[in-house]
Amino acid sequence: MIPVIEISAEGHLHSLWTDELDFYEIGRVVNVHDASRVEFNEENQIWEVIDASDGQVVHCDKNRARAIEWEIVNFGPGGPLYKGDRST
Amino acid sequence: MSKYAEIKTEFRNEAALIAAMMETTPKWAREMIEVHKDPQNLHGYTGDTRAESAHVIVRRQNVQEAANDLGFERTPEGTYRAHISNFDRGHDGQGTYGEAWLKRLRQNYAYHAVRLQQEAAGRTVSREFMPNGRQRLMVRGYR
Repeated sequence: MIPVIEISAEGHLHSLWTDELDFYEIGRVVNVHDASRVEFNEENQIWEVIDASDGQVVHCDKNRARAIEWEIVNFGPGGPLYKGDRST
Repeated sequence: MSKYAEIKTEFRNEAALIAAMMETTPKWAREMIEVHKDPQNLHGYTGDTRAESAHVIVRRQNVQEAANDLGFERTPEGTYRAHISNFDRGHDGQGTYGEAWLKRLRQNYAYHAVRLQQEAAGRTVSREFMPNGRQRLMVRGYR
């Protein structure tokens, strides 16, 4: 997993939250909001990645770690489901 | 559960600030940027002493013609506040060291602050310049 961070033209950072980066050292953390969640579907016996903005299931995997990796790649900056920067 | 976060960049890391200043204004060599433990007075284009003082200073002869000293003062909160004269900033903010320059400085600072932090943790940071004026960073070296 390669964390991706975007720096806006104004010079502010946008990212999925990760404790591996000390964001507090860079500046003031604001506008934290849900991106997605990974839940287990008992009926289908599979891990589902759910878009927090609309509740839609956008990906499934039997392997939870793979589901989380998919979530980070697709919901992070540059990913097709990225909605983190509300200024755009 | 993943969370989006926005970080409003503040100048806090002196080394990252100096690296960003040199990148944003390439004519500034490292020796042109003074760093002081205690704040020093800034001077105007005639050599007059200005009201502001700063810890990180570029003297007027290295700023631009007829310029004033440009500096960053470390506040009690540990952030650096820019002191740029109205002449150098441009009265409409569109001067050589106006809003556009400050935005580029903040962008470059954010990159260098992340880079220095992650390099200290044994990781590497690559940077891509996007067509929309943004920068995208990728951090490598996670276990």
